[in-house]
Order: sequence, then C-alpha cells, then structure tokens
Amino acid sequence: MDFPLMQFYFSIKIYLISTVIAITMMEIVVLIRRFIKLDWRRDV
Amino acid sequence: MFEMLKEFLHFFPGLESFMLMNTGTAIARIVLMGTGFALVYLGYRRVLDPLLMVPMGIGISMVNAGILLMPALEPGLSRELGTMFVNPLVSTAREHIEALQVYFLQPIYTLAFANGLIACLVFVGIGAITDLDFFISNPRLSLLLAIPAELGTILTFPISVAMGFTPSESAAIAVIGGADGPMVLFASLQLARHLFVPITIVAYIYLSIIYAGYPFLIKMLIPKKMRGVSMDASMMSNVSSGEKLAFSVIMGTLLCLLFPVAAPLFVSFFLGVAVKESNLTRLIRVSDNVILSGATLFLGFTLGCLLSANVVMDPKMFKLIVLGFVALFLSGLGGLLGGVIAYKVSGGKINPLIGIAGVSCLPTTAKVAHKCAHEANPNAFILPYAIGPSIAGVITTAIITACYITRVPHLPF
Repeated sequence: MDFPLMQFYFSIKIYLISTVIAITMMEIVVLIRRFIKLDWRRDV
Repeated sequence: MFEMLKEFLHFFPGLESFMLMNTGTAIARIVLMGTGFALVYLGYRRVLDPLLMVPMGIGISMVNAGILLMPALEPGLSRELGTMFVNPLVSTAREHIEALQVYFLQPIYTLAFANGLIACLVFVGIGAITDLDFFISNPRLSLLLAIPAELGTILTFPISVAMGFTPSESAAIAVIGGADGPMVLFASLQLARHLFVPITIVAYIYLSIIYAGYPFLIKMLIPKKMRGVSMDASMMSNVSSGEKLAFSVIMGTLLCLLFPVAAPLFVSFFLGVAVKESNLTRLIRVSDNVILSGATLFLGFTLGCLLSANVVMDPKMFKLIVLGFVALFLSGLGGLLGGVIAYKVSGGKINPLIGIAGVSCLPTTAKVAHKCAHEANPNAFILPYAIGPSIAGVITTAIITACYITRVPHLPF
C-alpha cells in the first residue's frame, strides 16, 4: 500500500487555506466588537 | 416435518425470510437486532448519547426484524426481500412515486434526508441553543484551539485514499474527524451519495461513543494536575446580543460568499443564532423544542432503519469503521495537543481540556471536557469556556468541509 503523497499535500493545502480563512474570521470578530463598541453619539 | 415447518412459517413472513436469504446475511440480521437492543440499553443507561441512540437502536432492531417477501410492483417481476420502512435506492420519478405509496418512512427520507434538509434543521436548532459569549470574548484563542482539533479531518483523507477509497469518498469519510453529525451527512450526500448510509451511521455511532471514549484518552494523556486547572473568570467578558447578532449576519454572509455549496448549512446555523440573539422567544422555543427535537428523533430513527444487514455485509463497512475511529482519535489527539500548548503558553492559566472541545461535537465534547476537569478538581467549572472552541470547531469543520466539497470533485488525481 503506497502512501498517496499527492492527496497528502492536497489535504495539507486545505488545512492551510482553512487556517487562513479561520484567522481572517477571528479578526473580523475582533473588528465587529470594536466597531459596535464605538460611541457614535460622542461626535454629535 | 420440514413441509409442516415451511407451512407454519408461511404465517410469519418475518421468520420465513430467514429461510430465503443466505446464512451470512441471516446471521448479520440477528447480530443487528442484538446491536439495536444494546444501543437502546446503553442510551437508557446514559453510557451513550440517549437522544440519538434510543431511536437509532429501535430502528436497527425493528428494520432487521421486519423483513418480508415484498409483492411485485409490476406483473412479471420477481418478488424480492425488503421491508415496509424505507427504500433508499430509488432513483427515477416513477420509482419515487411508487416508493412513497409503499414505505412509511419514504416521505421523510425523500423530502428531508436525500437533500440534506434534516442536517440543516438540526443546525437551526443548534444555532438557537448555542451560547457565543466565550467565543466572541476570545475569538483568537477559540479558533487557535479548534484548528489543531481538525487533525483527523485532514489526515484521514490520504489514509482513506491509501485504503482504496476514491478521493470523493475519502473526503466524505474524513469529515467524520470534524465530529459534526449534520456536516458528515451533508458532505457524504454531496460527495459520496452511494456511501452516505454507512458513513453517516458510522459517524453517528462514533459521535455517541465519544461521550464514553474521550475521557479515557484525556486521562491517559493529561496529568491530573493539568486537568483540574480552574479558569480565570476575567476571560469571560460581557458580550451584548447586538455583537452576537452582527457576528452571525456578517460571518454567515461571508461564509456563504466563499463557499456557496455549503451555504444551506451556514444559513441554517446562523439563522438559529440570529433568532436567539434577536430574543424572538417564540421562534427560539420552536427552533429548540420542535425543530431540533423533531429532527433529532427522525434523524436517529431513520438512520437506524437504513442499517439493514445488506449495508453491514458491504466489505467497505469494516474499512469505514476503522477510518471513523482513526479520524476521531486523531482529532481528539490534535485537540489535546492544542490545549497543552495553550496551557504552556498561558503559564498554566488555561485548562488544556478545552482543547478537546475544539472537536466540534457541540456540545458533547465541551461537556466531556468539563466532566473530566470537574472530576480532577471539584472547583473547576470549565463548561462555558469549552463552548468557545467547540463553536469555533463547528466553523473550522464547516470551512474544511466546504473546501472538500468545492475542490475534491475537480481533482486531477
């Protein structure tokens, strides 16, 4: 049984892409929190 | 004497059917009836997750008992063994119409299973009962704990190809490592429809076994001192419902934009979250008490009814059992590794067990982490902290599943 190297590389690529997307997501969560916490009335 | 016995068996078609099948299938039928009883018992004793195991066990024992020689649908066709429950193999419109008139579970199967609707209904309910506080308070920590817990989802793919499955089948099997039942159901329908019954059955049985199996893995790998770490309450800041609602709308839209093929699952989960955070009490009650409970009941029961002796006799079933174990074992291992790294980096402030909650079997793995921490130290209360990585795990599993569904069918190898 040969280890399928191409599929292994593909799954690692999927892992890296998912990690990048997940990290982008968490930064969006941080931004949402900051944005909502802004006190808009201060500028009025 | 033999003629008399045959005459007697004519009165009881279920018993007669044993005489009409080969010995191996007959033995598998009896074993499956016993397995059904065992699942009901283990669910009743709360060793396995009762919500799924009781209906599934009932389905498995009774569908394998109720086999009979079905009447021929058209004159001239031979009669074949079957049940009055469900026929998953119909394909043409005419067969569908006939099946809907014969099999009592066919409407549920055709209208809710074959298109993945039941997975989406479960997700609406899960969204409506999910508490996002820790996840939104600590999004970085939650997601960084969830990523190593996807080890099984990633490594099972090449292992499965090495064991002789096609890339599409392997990707569907690998999603078991994400430990998210509805996601497995959805992925197997999209990628390997012909294997969706065995893959989903194996996944759900293993997901229930997680409840009993992961504590052993935790106790084997994590010393008692580390298991009993109490977490700092300051890690849980106040999160307003507006923040959670904004998160669900933006995140849901973004994920649908990136992966339209998995949009039904994303929209279902974030719809549930939005209903909860908008404080729509009547809709929350419907999502939890009606949609989630009803979908879980029919999910377990229909899956049980699909597990006939023929499915178990499929030679691929044994490989699936092995791969399901490998996927969940690797994910559990990765989750604990992530937890230990977080423990070390934080100087011992983070309980490493919340890492295993990143295996996104929401909320089972979070409960398991809490139970093990509580056993090691009665003052350790980590459930709210463990829910964060668990939710992050749902999101990372959804992203990986969506990547598989989008890319694997177009692979050149």
